Amino acid sequence: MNTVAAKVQQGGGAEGQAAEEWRRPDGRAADELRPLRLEVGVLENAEGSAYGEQGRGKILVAVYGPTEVHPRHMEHVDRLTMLCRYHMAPFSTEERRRPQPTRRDIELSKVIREALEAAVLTERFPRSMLKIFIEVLEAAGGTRCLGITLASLALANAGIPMRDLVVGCAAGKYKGRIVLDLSEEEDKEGEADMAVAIMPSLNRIVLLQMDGELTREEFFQALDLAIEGCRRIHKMQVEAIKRKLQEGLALTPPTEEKE
Amino acid sequence: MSQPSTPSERILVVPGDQLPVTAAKIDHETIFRENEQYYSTVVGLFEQRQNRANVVRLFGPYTPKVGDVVVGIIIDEVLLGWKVDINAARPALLPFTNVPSRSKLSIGDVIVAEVADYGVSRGVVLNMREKRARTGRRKTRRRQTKKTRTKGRRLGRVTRGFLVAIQPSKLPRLIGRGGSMISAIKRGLNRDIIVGENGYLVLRTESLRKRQIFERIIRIIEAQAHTTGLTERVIKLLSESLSSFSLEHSSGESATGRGSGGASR
Amino acid sequence: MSLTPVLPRINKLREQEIRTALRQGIRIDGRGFDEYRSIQVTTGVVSQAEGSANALIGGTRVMAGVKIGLATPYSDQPNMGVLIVNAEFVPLASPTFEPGPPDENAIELARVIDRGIRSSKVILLEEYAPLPGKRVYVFFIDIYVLDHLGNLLDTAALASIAALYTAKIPKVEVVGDEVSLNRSVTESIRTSALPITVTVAKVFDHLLVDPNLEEELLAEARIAITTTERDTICAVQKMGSGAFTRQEIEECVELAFKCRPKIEEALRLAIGHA
Repeated sequence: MNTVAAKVQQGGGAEGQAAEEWRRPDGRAADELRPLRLEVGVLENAEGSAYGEQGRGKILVAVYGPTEVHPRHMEHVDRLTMLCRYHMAPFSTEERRRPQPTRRDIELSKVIREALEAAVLTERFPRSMLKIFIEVLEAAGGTRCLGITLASLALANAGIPMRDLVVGCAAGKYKGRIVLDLSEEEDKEGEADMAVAIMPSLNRIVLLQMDGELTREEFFQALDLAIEGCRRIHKMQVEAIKRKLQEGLALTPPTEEKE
Repeated sequence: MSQPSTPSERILVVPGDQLPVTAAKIDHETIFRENEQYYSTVVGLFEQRQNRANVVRLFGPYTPKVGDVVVGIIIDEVLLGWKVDINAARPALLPFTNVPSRSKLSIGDVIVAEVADYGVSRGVVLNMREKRARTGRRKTRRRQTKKTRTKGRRLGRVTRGFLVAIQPSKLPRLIGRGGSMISAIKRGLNRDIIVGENGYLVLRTESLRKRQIFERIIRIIEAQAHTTGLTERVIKLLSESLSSFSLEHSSGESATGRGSGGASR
Repeated sequence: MSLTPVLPRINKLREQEIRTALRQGIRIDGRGFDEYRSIQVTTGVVSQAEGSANALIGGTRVMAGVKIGLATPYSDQPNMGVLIVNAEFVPLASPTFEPGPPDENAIELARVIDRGIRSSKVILLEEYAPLPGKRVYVFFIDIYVLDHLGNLLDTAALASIAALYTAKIPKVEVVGDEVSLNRSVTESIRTSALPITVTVAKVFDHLLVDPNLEEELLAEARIAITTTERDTICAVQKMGSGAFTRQEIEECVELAFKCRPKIEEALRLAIGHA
């Protein structure tokens, strides 16, 4: 009952007022991101790792390798074999999930791998394998995008050469408006959802998935909004790397001490 | 051209950052070119000197170079030789022909060898013979005299000591300018240290306590590699831990497991 | 878990040939960049299924069957019929297909088609819940790939839509809390859209619709865009380990709408909604 009342209010308010005063269920403006926190180098064992929180969402990513390829027949003689596993913890959602990978997990593992492969200089590591593990500890909408953002941080942390960082952000349509970074609720009730990942410096789109229904105009509005969101998150990615380098003290800049 | 070349300036960069490259020689491991623009592929410090541009990595694995002296662990025996873990993307091959006949090797042995040949697709070939490698290239000796750390270093099997790994990107800091840091540590511990350029180190001691101190120092160097005054701090720490060492030692403290080695990055 | 696939290699001479031809504006099989191979759809090919179709784009052949039953609805959608799309890449269709449960490619294909159908409301699932929360219709669309010569997705989408559109849906009989299907009385689908999927491949920086097998192997990336007759976009999926520019995405969307009429015509011809 409460939610219905809230919705009516929202709808009534939106009609009468200027667009910038319209607020989303969580109080955000249409082009506002949820609070986002990114951290680099959080695990001991992995060659590279990253942790992030976006709204309620919590994701941990680890990168192992490069190592030899297993299974052997997946070896590429001229490039890197990348393994990517996107997985949601059984306790990450309202109802317990079975720990076995779902069809969604399998699809997302594939599109995330492909998005990251666009950036990694795979030809530098023939006959080698790199493993990327993305564990969603708590789901809250937009996990594939945050997963990609974190995976690229973990890859940078592992020293894997890349053309660019990769950063993901979602956009969509909720109650007739194009909005940035959908929450779980907006995702469920919205009219359309679009996941985008880009290489921000090279200006390339490496992941694009959409469902729901959008006119051509709305489609590009959403795409441009998602790209704008990616650019903002990219700045936070760079800051997270710099924070990691400064960690363990040293406010002094690197100097000419070496040789 | 508009960018004045300031050879000593080092800029912190991340993958995808555009680099103001003016140098003619470019390190293609760390710099990538597209549409006449240069970008960093790694997190590191961009520098240009003597007409050469590169990014000194701050994160990352060991990238082999011909002539490197590395510490390796034998992990398998294959048709033509030994497979050796050298902390790189793939194991190296140590052909039987590059092993001195007196050396009896087996799986699990720790060895010191030289990178005789390296190709991105064929991988690393090692040599353990003191005199020039059979399968190697001609110029392998050149780098040997470059630094004190490898001078007079004997290739071969390591029969005693502790093996410790440092992040390869932090190795230059362990050496220090002109070898200052590593010599200080050797002096402080009064032990020899074999430094593999792949980041595997062997401290020649049987003292568990010295190993713990050494490992702690390594972790500190890793965490603080980009800071100034690190050598001084390490020397101070060494003398402190060694003095407390004699106390603890007399009070009969026994080291447990990996102990202080866990002092994290 | 997803691993970089090991794919058949194209020799350098052939690659050069394709590259040179594209630079001159020609595709290796003589088509224009925005031209589909011949499209052929036949329906009612399996009598045991409530709906079935065979779709051919060039030599690529995909069969789809629709089976209909009753089931308990999903707890979060108690008032809606259930739609389940599954794809089998049958080993007889390609030397690269292995027997076993659907791999990531089959799962991705099924899910993209599922989203296209769901988003555009090809089937009004809310009208298929005779006893909300208890018993609702369940529609299984099973996609069977029979010969793979490139662009499976568009072919599979065609077969699925054709099978669904021509499905004979049994009426329900409700007696108190008991619901059963009367298979002797059927009706046609209650629908609100006719989605068409167009795949565009980026090969040596050229955008080609309906890629054949070689073009697919050489493609840096592909994008599948599903459109409706309402001039809207209802599903998009970028595939492959490469990238697109914003400009290229715009061109791809343009191509998707441009190619739509020809495919729609072939589909309407088969389903008798001309």
